[in-house]
Amino acid sequence: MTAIIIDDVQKARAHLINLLAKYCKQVEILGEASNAESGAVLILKLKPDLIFLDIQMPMQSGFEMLASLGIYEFDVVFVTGYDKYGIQAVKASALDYLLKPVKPTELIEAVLKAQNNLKNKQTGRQIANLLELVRNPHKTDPRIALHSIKGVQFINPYEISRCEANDNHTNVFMNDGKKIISTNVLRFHEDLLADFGFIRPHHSFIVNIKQIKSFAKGNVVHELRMNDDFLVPVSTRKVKEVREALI
Amino acid sequence: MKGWFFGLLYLGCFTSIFAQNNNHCGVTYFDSIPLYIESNLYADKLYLGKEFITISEKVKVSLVQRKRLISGNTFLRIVKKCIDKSMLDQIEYRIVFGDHKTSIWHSISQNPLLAELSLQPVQKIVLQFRRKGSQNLIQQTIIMRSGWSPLINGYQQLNLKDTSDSKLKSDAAYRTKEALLGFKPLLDNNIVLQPGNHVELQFDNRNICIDSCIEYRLWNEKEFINSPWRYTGHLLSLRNISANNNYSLQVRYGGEQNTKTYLIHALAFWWQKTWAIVLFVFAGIFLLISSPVYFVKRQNRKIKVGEELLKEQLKKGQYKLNPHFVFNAMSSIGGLVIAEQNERANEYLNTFSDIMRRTLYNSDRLFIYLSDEIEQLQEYIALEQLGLEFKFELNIDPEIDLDSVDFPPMLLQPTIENAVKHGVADLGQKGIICLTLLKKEDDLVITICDNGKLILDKPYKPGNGHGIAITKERIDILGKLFPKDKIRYDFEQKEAGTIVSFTFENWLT
Repeated sequence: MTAIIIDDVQKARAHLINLLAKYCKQVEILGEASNAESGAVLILKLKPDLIFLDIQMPMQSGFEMLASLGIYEFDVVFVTGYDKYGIQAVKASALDYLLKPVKPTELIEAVLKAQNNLKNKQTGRQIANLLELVRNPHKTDPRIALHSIKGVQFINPYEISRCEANDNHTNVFMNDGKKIISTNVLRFHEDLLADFGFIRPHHSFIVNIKQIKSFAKGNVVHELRMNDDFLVPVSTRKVKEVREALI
Repeated sequence: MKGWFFGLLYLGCFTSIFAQNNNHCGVTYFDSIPLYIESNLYADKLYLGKEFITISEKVKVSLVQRKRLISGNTFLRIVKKCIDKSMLDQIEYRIVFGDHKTSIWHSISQNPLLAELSLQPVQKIVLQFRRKGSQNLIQQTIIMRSGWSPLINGYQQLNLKDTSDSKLKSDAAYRTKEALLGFKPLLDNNIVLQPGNHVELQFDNRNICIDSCIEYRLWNEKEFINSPWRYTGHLLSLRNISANNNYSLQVRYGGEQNTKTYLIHALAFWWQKTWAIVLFVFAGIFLLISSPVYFVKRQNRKIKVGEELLKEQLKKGQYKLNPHFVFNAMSSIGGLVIAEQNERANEYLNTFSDIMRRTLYNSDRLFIYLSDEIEQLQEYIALEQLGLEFKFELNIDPEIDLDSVDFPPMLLQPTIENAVKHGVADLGQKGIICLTLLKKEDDLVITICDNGKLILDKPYKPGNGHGIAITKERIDILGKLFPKDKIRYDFEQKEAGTIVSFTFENWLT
């Protein structure tokens, strides 16, 4: 498996190269770049399987570099220090990322995932989706990518009715009644869907505010009645939050 | 002279038996032949000289008998010369109906009753007396039934503040034929009242034998006609008049058939007019819609502002990383680098960066997952253990799903720091800190204990420490924001160490 590293901080590149050499011996580093422009040149020249890409760089960001390429025949792992917003978009496209300083365990996991991804060629679409989300964050019909048991699925988040915890997986129920089993835990989806008008009224549920039919006190606890008449319990600490969200 | 005597004798009798009995209204009528005429209602003056006018149907005429008590309420004396009793045998009488003069003459017998008549309205009879055989009439009395119904002469509008004495007016109305002071003449059957006013009506005085002889009934035109008849005197005061209504007033003399109907129009107040009602309805609808919205909005804004303030306080009061800890941790890592334990140094550096990131990430959150809080504590302890080699025990009730429980970020941090600083810092490898999470029904119980020695000369009082004050303040604010989920904070200092326990009531529902 071949890889290149694009990061403006020399020491960070060195650290990553050391870690890869130590823990991921199957990865062959073809080259490294200190800015987006030379990185793009490297990608076109060397055609690596995997890119470790810093998001925030002077001149051109990692996202802008990807946009300039247009064709994506490689997998990408973003490496970033502290970038809430960028990571949000990366997560929404079901792409992988590492936080600086990179931890060996997380690096190993990311490399393994990338190797598995080589078999299914979804990455191009995922990157395109990521760039779309970054360019147009208030799009009316955005797509987010979910890791499901059937592979990466792109769905419109506004068409999700609710998510329900199912052990380590999450059942995602769509408005049309379809069910997608996401391989991530429920809390992963909470951050993912927060920007699309979702709230978490109960520790086992995330619901689309627009799909709520009514909110009332049930026999024991407050309940949300969804448009498909499914009842979602509301935990006492969340009652106010839910009420505010509905007003 | 004899006639005089006769008359005075009767006069004596009558004055003593002057009775007020409605069933026996009668007039004692002195002329040559003294007569006693009984009727329920009658005008107590003879009209046009010798006409007796009755309002009721039945009339009874009898001779006034000597030494007999007859109850009557009016006494009339027309001529002074009365006929002697001994002459009565020579007198005959007849009753002429209308213009028929062919009726038979009757002689006056011992029976004092002369005639008992049923008169039709406006029917007239004449009672004639003469000496037997003579053509000259001694006396002629005309009895006529009227076709009257009560007649309203005048009216006065009164507002509700009016306090004039209607008793006096009522008495006056019975006595006088003139309009009472302040009364306007009524020219037709329609009375128009200003809104909110009521009305007093004056009936024409026809010298009726009793005052309360008039019956009336009043009904609102929107309601049924069947209101009962009521008696009134010659002054009728109508107080139950509501504005914006039309009333009919029907009047008749007691027991009579002839009625007269008046119309009373009570005008509408301005707010009862159509345009005003339409305006009110719209205003009402507007208020109905807007006021709850306004109040709810205002209430919500109020609550929201209050809550925002509390939330801000909560976030502000969130524990910040202790600078001591930060620099101690960095120097510990530096020590590892100098000792060329680079891998360990890297590991601790990663841990340290995790703590930094979490602190940044959690700074604007009210709740995080309990698992995050526990991880953060573990990372913190791991870094502290680098410098101080105490033991750390973590016990988590397997029934608690850490990933689904909310927790206020860094709530436990100050307590753990206290356990390190004041508890195990001096104990070296013997020091132990325990963190225990238990589920008790729906309560989450978290205990933090250490085996630090009690320093007797410097008692460690709750409230003294900075960390304890921060913890208490945050629990206080949380209690205000979420009154149903109480958090109890208990502090126990013993010889063997310190136990701090948090009880989060109903936290695991």
